[in-house]
Amino acid sequence: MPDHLVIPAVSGEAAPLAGAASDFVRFDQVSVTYGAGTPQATLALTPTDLGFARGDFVCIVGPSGCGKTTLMQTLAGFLKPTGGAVSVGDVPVTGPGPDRGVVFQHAALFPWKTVAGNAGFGPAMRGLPRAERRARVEYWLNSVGLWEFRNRYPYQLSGGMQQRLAIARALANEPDILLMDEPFGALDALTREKMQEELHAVWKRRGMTVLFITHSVDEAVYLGTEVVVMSQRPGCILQRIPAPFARLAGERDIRRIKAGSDFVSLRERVLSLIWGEGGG
Amino acid sequence: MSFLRRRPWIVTLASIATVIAAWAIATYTGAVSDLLLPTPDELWDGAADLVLNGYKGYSLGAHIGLSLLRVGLGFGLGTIIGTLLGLGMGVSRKLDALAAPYIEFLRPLPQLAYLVLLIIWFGIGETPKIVLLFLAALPVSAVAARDGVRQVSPQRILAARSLGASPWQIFCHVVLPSALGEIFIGARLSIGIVYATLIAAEMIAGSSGIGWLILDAGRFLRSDYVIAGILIIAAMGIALDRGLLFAQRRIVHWAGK
Repeated sequence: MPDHLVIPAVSGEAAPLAGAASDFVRFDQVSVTYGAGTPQATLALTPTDLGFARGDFVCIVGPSGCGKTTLMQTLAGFLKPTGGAVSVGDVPVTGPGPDRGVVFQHAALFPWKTVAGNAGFGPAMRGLPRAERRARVEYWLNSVGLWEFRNRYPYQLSGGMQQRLAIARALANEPDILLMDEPFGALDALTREKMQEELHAVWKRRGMTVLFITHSVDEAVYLGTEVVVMSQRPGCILQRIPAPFARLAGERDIRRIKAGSDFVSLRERVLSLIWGEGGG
Repeated sequence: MSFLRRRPWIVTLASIATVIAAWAIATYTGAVSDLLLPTPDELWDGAADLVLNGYKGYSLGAHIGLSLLRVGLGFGLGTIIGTLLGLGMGVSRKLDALAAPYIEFLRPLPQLAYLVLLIIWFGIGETPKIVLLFLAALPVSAVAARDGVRQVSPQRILAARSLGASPWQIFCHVVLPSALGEIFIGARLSIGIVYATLIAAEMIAGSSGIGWLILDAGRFLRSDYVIAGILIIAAMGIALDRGLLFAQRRIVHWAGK
């Protein structure tokens, strides 16, 4: 377990803002200006430093337009930063790659492919041997409870199942990092909570690194090992707050955790930060 | 009238029966001369005569087959090449800039406008007919395929890229299937145009084809042959469109879902 996570979170001093040199993922003075060089140029992200370790589950929360998706897109390689650089394991990010799996808010599945075809898309494109591909599809579809639907098409699945398939599709590539952009934002509250549980179980089992973007403070505090609070216009990081609930040992009871006073006070602290009432 | 609302085909049948009854009354009473409109049994005899004896050297099947062959060749070549061109135009702005003026010029142009030129260039055989139909199908398919490519969801492309797909794989596995819906819509549009152009194509000094049959029979005031030919052309048109619709629903099964 990385050192900075041992900090007693709820009483919480904020973690240092700049990334340490040993961080697995590093944003160095990353800034993004849309329409740079035109009269309509908008600064979406002020020069930002952020770093985190392998195995971290980093949740970014903030209001619309705070640049959280922009930040994620620079790591995904979809967006070239106007300034600064992003690196993973000391290798600069220059474009999208299978080492960084992405799950979008709207599943962005391939409707012309079956459930199994979607799940096996990454391994097939990368030319993995057939047996390996089949094993991965079976493993990940089982993990998200969709194996029995493998011959269906995405439009025959419910919204929650489609999102589970999108997660399985990203994970079947066995990426080092999973990037999730409000993946449960379009789901109803019950499905959403169930999906949070399932995602957490997969993360714990595989020990991967996750960057998770959400509007929901509740979701961020519950899932993250760390909550990064961003502020809008122009987007910047307000504070990084370690959260203890993701790494709680033993059986997790989502209702008990979310009703607990530790959880409630941390959630309120993050909320007051977002509402600009100081906090911290 | 909820009984009829639940069974619209009854209204359809009643509508057809009314027209046939009006036709029978108008012709059997002599209100309309049978030179202009045959009676139902004259039409039946005329159609039977076409089926049994053919028309001017070709069997009815040969006339239909030759027309279908021309439609098939013109539509097939025009749609395949037009679609390939359109896919290229959708992917490459350069190719689009290169080809768009010709496509945009050709698309709204009535086919009969350049028919004369085709006869001058290609004579009066099969070639100008096929070329005419080819040119009718080409621009529609090209525009449909280009628009299909442009409507690809950018998020799906990003998803494919982050899953490790190469540009060529993205084209084959994401862009092409995304565009299929538009391509099929273009194909159905283009077969309608090609089919309508067929009659014009068969006017070119031919002596075969269902379109020519109608034109030729008209010259001899054989309205029974003309109407039988029109019914056959209509049935073929419906069959072609339904065939494409069936293929579209089977192949692009995800569309609209």
